[in-house]
Amino acid sequence: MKKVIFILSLLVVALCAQAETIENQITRANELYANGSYDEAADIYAALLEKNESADLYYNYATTCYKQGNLALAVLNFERALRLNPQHADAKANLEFVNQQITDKIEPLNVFFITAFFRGLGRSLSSNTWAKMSVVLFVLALISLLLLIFGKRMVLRKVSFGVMLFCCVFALVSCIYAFSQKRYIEQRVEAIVMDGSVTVKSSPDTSGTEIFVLHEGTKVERQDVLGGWTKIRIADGQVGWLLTTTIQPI
Amino acid sequence: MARKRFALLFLILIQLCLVNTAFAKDKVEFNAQVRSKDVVVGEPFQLSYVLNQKASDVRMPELDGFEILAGPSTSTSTSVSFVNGQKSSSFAYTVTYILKAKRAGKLTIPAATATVDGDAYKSNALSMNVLPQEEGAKQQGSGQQSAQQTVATSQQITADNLFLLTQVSKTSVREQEALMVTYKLFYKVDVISIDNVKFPDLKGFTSQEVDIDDSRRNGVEHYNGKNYNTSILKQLLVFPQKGGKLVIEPMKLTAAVRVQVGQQRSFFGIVPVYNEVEKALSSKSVAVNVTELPKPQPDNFCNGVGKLSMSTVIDKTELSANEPVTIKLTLKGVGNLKMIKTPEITFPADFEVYEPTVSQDYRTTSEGMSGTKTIEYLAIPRHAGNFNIPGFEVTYFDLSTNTYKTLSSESFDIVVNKGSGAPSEAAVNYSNNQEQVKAIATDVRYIRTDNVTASPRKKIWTGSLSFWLAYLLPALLTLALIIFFRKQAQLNANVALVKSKKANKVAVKRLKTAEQLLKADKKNEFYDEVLKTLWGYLCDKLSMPMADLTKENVEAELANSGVTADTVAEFVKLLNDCEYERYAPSQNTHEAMANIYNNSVKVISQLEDMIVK
Repeated sequence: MKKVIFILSLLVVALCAQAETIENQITRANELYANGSYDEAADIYAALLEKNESADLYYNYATTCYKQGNLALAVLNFERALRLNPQHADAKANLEFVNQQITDKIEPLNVFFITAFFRGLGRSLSSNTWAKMSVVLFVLALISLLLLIFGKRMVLRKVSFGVMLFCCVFALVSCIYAFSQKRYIEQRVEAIVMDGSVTVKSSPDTSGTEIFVLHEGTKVERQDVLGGWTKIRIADGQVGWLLTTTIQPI
Repeated sequence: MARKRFALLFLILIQLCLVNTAFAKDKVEFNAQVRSKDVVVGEPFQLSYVLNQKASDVRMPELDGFEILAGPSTSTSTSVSFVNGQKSSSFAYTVTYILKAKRAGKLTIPAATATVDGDAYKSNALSMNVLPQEEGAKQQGSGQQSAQQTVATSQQITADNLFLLTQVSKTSVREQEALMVTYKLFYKVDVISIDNVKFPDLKGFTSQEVDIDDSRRNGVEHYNGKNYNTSILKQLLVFPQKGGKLVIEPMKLTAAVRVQVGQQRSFFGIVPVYNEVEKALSSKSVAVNVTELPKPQPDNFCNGVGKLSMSTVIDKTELSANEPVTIKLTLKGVGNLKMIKTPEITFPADFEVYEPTVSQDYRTTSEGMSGTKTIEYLAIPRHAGNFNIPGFEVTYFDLSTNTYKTLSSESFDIVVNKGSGAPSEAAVNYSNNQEQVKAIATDVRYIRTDNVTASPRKKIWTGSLSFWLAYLLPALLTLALIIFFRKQAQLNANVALVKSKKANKVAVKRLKTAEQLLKADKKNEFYDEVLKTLWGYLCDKLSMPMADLTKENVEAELANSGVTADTVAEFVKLLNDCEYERYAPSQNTHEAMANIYNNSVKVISQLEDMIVK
């Protein structure tokens, strides 16, 4: 029994110590950033991000990358911060700011506004948030079902019927969004061009016709992979192949 | 008659006096003059001192390098002219010397002194350009050449006596260092005109043409042992814009020369015959070695090369809002002043800043532009407050030390007081005084510093087992609840059954001890227990103390509590049976006991149902 307590306490201490070091490291990197030592700060953030993640950490790393002048890394990590927390206001503002400085300006394809609205709605919350929302709505629907069945007063039963319908529909919608977001993030459909200049070809082959040129920091959508080549689609709908090594999935 | 003559003479005298006083009123001018400042060693030349008034004592200065051959000889001249009835007169008193230079070089004839009406005056000094004698002419002696002619003309056109030359002041310079390029025509022949002048493009240079006044345009120069008449065709101050070997291409022109082709006997005697000959000339190209400025160039390098100094002056440091403030920056020195970039002063963002005005005042010298460049920065503070205009730095390349040098200005603190506008006016305009917050610059937002944590990477919860359980468990719970409540409802529907079941339960509970005694077949104890239980039950149900209950009033009490007469009778019978059986020797005791027990359960159950409390 004593042995077990000893081992448990050791485990707890070790866990605390690790959490402590992560926070200490972040504080140290933040201080380095404040002093203008961006290179050292970026190294610490990058090392932490190898095993850990949080929207704020990605955000700090991205901001440091921007200060170092690495636009592509900055865009990539702002996007990653937003992937974890789509509501991160600072990351949104900085991403917008950095996107104004990258070379490529792509006129996005006009999407039907209802489609754009529903897609934007889905992207606005993380998968887990949608999932939790769905569960909560489902439970609410069950409660209203109980009230509907066992309610004594007519008014209560009418109201609970409406609530139940509403909750059921939205629980389903949330669930769909949760899975769509999960797919979107796990498949890492979107990627950022990391190389200074990348030629996009018409076929997955060095001899393919050059269609257009992309520059660092541009967001692309991955569609297919073949050998060392990835088929991408950019915001204005153009499609082509580029070397997989030149892009980094978000 | 004699009297009349006397009067006339008197009048003339007065007039003369007036004229003299008129002269005396003029400023004394005292000039030294020579026909040409270019002379050849050993050649006599004339030096004149001209005064506009008669001087009593014109004294030559001590001469160094010159010898007086003749003089002084004095002469006076007066001219009077009437123009539109206005009389103007001039008077010249000239003292002339004939001089000879003894050695070549730049020599100076110092100022001479003269006394006019007891006051001493000084003339200007003359700087003379004394050329050495021509090699060929040395043996001939100076006397052979005609006086006042420094260059012997030749009748032959050769490359020696008519050529173009591109002269540069330096052949090895720094980038942006000034050098003077002069295109000159050298001639010893009679040049009548020049035509088709073509100057080359100066590739790799920026150039500034130098004005040549007439006194400088034509001269005499000693070149390759000979004296030439020279004519400056063009003079440029150029600044190389890149390093390396830069070539100044040749210039070209066509000169028309008058040459004597023979003699002709005519009515007037022997007359020379001249002919005009056109000759195309071209200068040689000149190479200039340009050294690049050392790299890296400092950030605030202003493009200036040379020797500069800077001063900044602010016109006021305390002022009212909407009042202009001017900072005057003066760059003084020698170098490529024109090419210097206007330094930027960072005024506080709330100031309305106007484009700076640049004024330049410089002379072109062979070292570059010498003078000042003045830049005035005008700004108008629109709001009251304390402001600081930070100092700034200007870096130039110093040619004397071959290093970059930084000039820094001081920073200025400015106190801006509120404008003197009437308060009522300010109140009226209050709503209009609001301004949009101006974005001075944009930058990324600062990193997050509060509570930034990170946790090991997690899988997305959506679709995981616990996610599905989160649906399943509430669903199952709900289902269970529904089933439970359903059953409950069904039970509720059969109220009587429920009630009797309940009452039976109570009875069984109360008779628990009795049941045990029954099983143990303890006759006396069993009946005691049953009686005790029945009485206890009634006390509880009717809320009456045990002492108040008798067999007599039980019936009435039970009837009051809504118990039917049958049940009351049954209850009373049970009580009686108990008492009877207890003391009666019965054959079949166990059977009787079981009978009593069952009756008790039944009665208590019935009472439980009927007594509403």
